[in-house]
Amino acid sequence: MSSSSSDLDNWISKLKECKLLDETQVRTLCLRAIDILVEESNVQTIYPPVTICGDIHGQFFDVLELFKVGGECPQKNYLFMGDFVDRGFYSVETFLLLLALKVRYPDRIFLIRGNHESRQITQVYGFYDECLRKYGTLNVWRYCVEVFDYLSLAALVDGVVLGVHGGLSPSISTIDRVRSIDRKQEVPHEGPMCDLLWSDPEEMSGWGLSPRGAGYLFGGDICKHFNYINGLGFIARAHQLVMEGYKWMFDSQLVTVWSAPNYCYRCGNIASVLELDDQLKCDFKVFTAAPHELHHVEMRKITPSYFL
Amino acid sequence: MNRGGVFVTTPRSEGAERMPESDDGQERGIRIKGWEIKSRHSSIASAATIEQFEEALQTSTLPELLFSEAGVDLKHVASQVHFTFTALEALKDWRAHPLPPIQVTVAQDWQRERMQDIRELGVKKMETDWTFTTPYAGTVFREGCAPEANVWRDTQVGIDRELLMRRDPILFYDEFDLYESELDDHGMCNLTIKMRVMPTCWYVLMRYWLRVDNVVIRCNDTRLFCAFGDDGAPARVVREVKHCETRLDTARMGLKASIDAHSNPDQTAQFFESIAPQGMTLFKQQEVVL
Repeated sequence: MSSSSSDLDNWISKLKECKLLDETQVRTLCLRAIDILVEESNVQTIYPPVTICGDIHGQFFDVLELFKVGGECPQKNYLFMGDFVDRGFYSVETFLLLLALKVRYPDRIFLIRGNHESRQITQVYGFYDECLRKYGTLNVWRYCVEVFDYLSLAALVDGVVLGVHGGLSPSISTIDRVRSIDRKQEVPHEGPMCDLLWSDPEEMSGWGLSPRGAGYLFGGDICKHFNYINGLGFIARAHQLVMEGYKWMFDSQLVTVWSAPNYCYRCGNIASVLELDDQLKCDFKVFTAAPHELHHVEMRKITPSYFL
Repeated sequence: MNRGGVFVTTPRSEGAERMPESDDGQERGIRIKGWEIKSRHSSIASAATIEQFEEALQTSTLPELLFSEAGVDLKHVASQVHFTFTALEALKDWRAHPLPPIQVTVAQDWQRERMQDIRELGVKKMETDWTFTTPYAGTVFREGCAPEANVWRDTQVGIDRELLMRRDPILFYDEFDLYESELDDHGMCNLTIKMRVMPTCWYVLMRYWLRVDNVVIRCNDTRLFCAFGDDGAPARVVREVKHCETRLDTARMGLKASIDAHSNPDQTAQFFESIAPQGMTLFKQQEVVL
């Protein structure tokens, strides 16, 4: 595994042009990423200032836009809260760019796992098919999903802002409990790890069971209690699309951040990133779809058909 | 965003004319043979609009892709009767005819392991139909009046498919979503509109489509059709409603294959055609004469 930082810089510039790395390069990159991620705690410690980002879903050019709006890495610190892949057209380029930045600047960019960073979900929602289409083999998909298993589960900014993809779990009353999870596995159906990646806040009190029969909903009282016990200012999470790019709930005890503008190339929504300065003051930077992504809107142009 | 309505030929040549575009460019329409036919596109609902929907529908569960302003409006000018399709009306029918919530495949495993927590914490089980399955088949109202539910009469004479299969020029065409949900990554559902206006007729297909991975597929179609008559003759609008549902046979096909086989509404609709009448749970053929 010989790859220097100049290799990495080359890969980063290549990826920034939305060009693919070859299979061997991806393999090297993934192995190096694992070396770094394996050392990271389930709950990453981050010091402000940091910019917190929600779902990006393979919308590569929008991620470039995100860096334009939020500032380039490594000049700015970043926390990405998962769902790097699926749905968009450039999951491979998007994930590999973030991963290359992670390997190059491990203390500047932090990646935590979303529910889409999973073998099963990526087979259904695009990443698997995209790897097969772009490489002709499944090797790249295999290298990447291996990396997914090493991604940490949460991040704690200055001890007072908790970043997590989905939300809370009844089996987790303290942040220390998250630290004790054995995370190096496919996202399970059981246990707190699944909840962290899947659960949703809901305007209610107490805990709810999703009508789907799987997945927790947590009310404002649960969130406030958790924050109080753990000395948190608020929770930043992703996982749910919001038209305005972010949404506060529970008297500012929780915020949803969404960073994929014009999601799936047709929602027309705004995206945002949350910049926390060194005093932890919140500043949402909002942005709309990059011109490059907009050509997919054109691709979807309506063709009249004699449908019956 | 996509803009509404594609004009395929110059409408004037067929005794039709374009209607003025709305200021935001999202609404377009065509005037033809005593009808004013409009479609409107929209981005997803803002937080404020979502609140209005939550209030109107008395629920906090809504499709995350809610194209709140989108819709179709077909107005018969002489009678001032409108036939419309909107997300709000569709969701009202979803609320008015609640189905028991479908359980995803992992539900049993998921709950078994958490049984103790669920009991001890008094976890509330939500009962909303999260697939947004709606029997909605469009709205009819006379201008300035409330919607009328009982204007439709059963008929033996259905949609003139021969006329629809003729390759006449399409004067106005559109397709768009009213709502869609990713079902929190357990499948997909959407309510879509396709419409076309020909020199001889107009035709709208609204389709509710659902795939819950490993569990079920559904397709609820509403077709609305009107052949243009002679000037002054009464207009006859035909409505065909067809609901289909079947369990997804993933044991035989495997998850990936079953998803690939039902990755969009058209595939599922074709599948139901191929196994008909198996899977069909409702069929109605109705008319209204104006």
